[in-house]
Amino acid sequence: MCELSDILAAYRGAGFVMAPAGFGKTHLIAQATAQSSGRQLILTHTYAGVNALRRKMRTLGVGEKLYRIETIASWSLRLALSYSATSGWVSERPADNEQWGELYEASSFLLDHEFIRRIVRSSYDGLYVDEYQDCSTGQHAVVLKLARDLPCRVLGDPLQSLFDFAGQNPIDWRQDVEGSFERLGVLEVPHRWIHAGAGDLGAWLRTIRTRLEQGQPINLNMNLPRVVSVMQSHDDPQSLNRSQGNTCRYFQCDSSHTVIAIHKGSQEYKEKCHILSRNLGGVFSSIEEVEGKALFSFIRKIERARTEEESLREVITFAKRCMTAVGQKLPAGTCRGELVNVRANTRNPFAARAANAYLAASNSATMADFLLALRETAGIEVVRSDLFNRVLSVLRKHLLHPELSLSEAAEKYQGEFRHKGRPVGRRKLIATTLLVKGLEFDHAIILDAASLSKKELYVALTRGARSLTIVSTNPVLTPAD
Amino acid sequence: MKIRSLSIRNFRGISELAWAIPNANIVCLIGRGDSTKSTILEALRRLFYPQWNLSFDDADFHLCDPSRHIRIEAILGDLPDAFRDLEKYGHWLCGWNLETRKLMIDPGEGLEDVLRIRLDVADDLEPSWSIIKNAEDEGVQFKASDRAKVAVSLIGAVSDRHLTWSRGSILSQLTETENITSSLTSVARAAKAALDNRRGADLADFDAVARAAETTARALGVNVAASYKTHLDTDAINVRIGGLALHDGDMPLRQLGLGSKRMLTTGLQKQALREQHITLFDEVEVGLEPHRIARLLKHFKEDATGQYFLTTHSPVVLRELNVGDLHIVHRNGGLINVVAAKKPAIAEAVQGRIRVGAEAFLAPKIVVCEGATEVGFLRGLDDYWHTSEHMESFAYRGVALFDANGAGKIKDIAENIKELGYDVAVLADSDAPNLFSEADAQALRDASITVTKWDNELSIEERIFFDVPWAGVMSSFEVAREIWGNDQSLLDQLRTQFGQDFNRDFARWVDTRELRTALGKAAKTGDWFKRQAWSQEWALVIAGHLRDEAIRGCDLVRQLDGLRNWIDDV
Repeated sequence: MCELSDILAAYRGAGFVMAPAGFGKTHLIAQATAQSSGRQLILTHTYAGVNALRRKMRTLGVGEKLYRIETIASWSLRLALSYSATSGWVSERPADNEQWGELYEASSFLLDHEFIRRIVRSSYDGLYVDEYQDCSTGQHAVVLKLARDLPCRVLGDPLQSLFDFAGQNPIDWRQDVEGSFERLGVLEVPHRWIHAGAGDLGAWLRTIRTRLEQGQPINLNMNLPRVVSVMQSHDDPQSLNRSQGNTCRYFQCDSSHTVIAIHKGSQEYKEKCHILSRNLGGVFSSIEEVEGKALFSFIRKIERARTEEESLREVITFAKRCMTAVGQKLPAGTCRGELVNVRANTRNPFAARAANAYLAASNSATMADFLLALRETAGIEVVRSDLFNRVLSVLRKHLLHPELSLSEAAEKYQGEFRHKGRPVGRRKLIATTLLVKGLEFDHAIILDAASLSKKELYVALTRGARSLTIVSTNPVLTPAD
Repeated sequence: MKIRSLSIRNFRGISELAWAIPNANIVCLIGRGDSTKSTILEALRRLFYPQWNLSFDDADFHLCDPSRHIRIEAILGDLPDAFRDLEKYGHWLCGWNLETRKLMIDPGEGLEDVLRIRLDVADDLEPSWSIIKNAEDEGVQFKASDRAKVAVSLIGAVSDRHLTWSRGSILSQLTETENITSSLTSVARAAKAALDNRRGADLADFDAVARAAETTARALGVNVAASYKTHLDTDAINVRIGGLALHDGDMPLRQLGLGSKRMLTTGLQKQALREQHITLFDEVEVGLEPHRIARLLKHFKEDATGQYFLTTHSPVVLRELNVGDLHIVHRNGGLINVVAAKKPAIAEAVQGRIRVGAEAFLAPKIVVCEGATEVGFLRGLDDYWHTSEHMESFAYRGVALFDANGAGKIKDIAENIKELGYDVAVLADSDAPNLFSEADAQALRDASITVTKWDNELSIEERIFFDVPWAGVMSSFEVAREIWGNDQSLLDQLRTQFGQDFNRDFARWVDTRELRTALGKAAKTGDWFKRQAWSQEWALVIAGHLRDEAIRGCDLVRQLDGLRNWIDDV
């Protein structure tokens, strides 16, 4: 790997490195940057990726003047806005994929201007693009334009290109990457697993990777490393749900370890994550997508509520989505949105009083108090802690900035959330393949493995550094493309 | 780097100024004494002040009114790539059209990459520097270290600082060592050691007191580690970097004459700044003889790495410059207007370096004269009026003469000079209406220009021979004889003009209309007085006759009185 970083640092053309998950890609970029002369522009896709790269740079002691790390989106947006008279771009927040696509067109157009090219040459001595498989064709066009003025090295793994919804126009690895860039090398060593003391798992994943690339089936009955266990299930939904539930519920590991249970990434399965986490009664918590649709839909409902009673009912509906047993643990009157007399025998007087306070003055402070009162109630477990915590954070933000409306506070929080990345506070989480892409855990539980596509399966299998537990209705996996 | 435009609001004498500067290495500002030329240089110096601690006070605000904020803005072109860096100001470039001198929001084809730099000072007196694109932008901070890179320095009346190593001085820029301060520390130690060696001689009295103090200390039980003695406190001999100064032998160079100091500073400037610099030179001529002025300006012209902003009141300086280098500063209350002197007709008249007429640019009132005859004639009148009639001289009245060198150029030149903001009068013949017609004269009068143009389509020679008393006619002919020293030639010319019956015996001439006409025509066609010195002499001879009661009301007297009234602001 040392030699590869030397090659990257000295390289003047446009080339790519095939970098399988967990094979030290971030490390390679940091090391090559340290060896490069002059400042490198390092582009990636998510703020989580930006943070991971920054951390690695700091760990390796790479001088801050040697790099600039940004997402392709924010880098392009900033430039297009700075020169809006030329780019014609004015929107500070592109709303959807179509608009983002237009932004990249505007940026590409900008990069055809000599003054912009000179700015680029004056600013950086080289370019790295991480997670290249996640590029849209628009982003790829921007990178190609940059590559005319900067030595360009892109790193990625075609087996990890997962996309959420239509309209993203992902690149075609073979055509766009192998066709445009020179092959500079492949990462060969499964550092993540060696580092975690599970070198045999790493080696096994390498063979799995080769089989997936070649379209061969994977037999879960043979040659498994010690840390991989398979839970065979019947393929009727009830049995499957039961074995998935049991696998998670009785999963044993060191209490300081992180665990991820992974579902397929379609809309149907996102819901399944929440259902599973509810069934597990708070042992696992499901995580939300970054966009925070559920969060904003709740905020909208609160802002649209015409009366305090309606507002309280919305808060309770929301609480029920995030927590177990909310209905049973509140007085019936409170659930109907009514003011209740709190007597000695009132159910959960603490939360009931908080609900009354909310009815008397419904604002962010009283709502937060009520939600916290619920969380503290014995018998209530939070199952969507990610959503719950985000709403609490928005309420806190609103208290700090009373001049903002609640939805503005939510926007502000969301903006910061994008930048800071997801705090992985809970040790045991449930999520879809899309949400866990790029994240690292100690243990992974793959749910309904037979439902996963080839790329989803690869992403799911490579999330756990110490152990893998695979729940499957079929001992031989033949994933679709 | 080069400054492409400058705008100033509410700074000292300037309430408003907007000036698009031509792309030139030398920009010389002229204008009346209080036209704020120096304020313009000072504004530039502050906009690019290389340190953070620049202090403003209430007197820096226009009309001393801090409620109206100071704002100084410049467009900076010819940028180094370091400023194009996205981590610096790469997000903030604008475009500048060098031809139209207009700012475009983005750079592009045919435009120069520029930065729009702003200095704001509000009533808290805190200066804040920023780089912006749109007027309403908050922009990004323009850092002191980057302001220093623009390398703007003002060489004003006192420029001693540049001959020391104080922060930001030219010498300190030339010095490569990083740890000047540590060398200074050892200087302090050496001083201490040197004093120690002379303890017996210089410190004996002090040490006696020290011993007394020690005795007291011991008596009181204060712990004495070694023994008390007098010594230099290194804190007190804190040698500052500004204390390092250039010396010639033992003499500090600040004791050089002002002019020499300023010249040396300029020379060092060129050396210090391997790349680019912008030098502001207030009153270039101060302390310098004409030959040294010439040398200094030659140095400016040959220095392609710099942009020089000069002010001057000296024709000697102007003679070394081209009309394209000149910019005239006008003040109308607080509104300041800077106009380029290079108007087409003026440029054509001056041609290259301002060899002649340099004074004209420095006077508030200019008489545009048709040719050498008129220039000389007015000079002669000025001499006579001043010495014999005790009138105020042209110089005192701020009047200068400008030779249009031909009737055909008068109109354009007069208009151009008027546009530059001068008070203009014209002295012209009327014998060539195809070159300077009555309509031309009227057009100039409509533009508030005083026009002296003889009646009856006559030249100055004809007009004079026509209007002066007979004695004046005869003395004029005497002057011509002295100038030419060839009576026969003059008489031949007169014969041609007069025709039949011409009397060659001039002693016997009698006053006739025909003879006066012939004299006027011969003088004109024969160029009898067509040199400044000649017509000047002529004017001295006839000036006395202009007060003659007999010719009061004639065209010559009327017109000259009109011109004199303009000179005297009547």
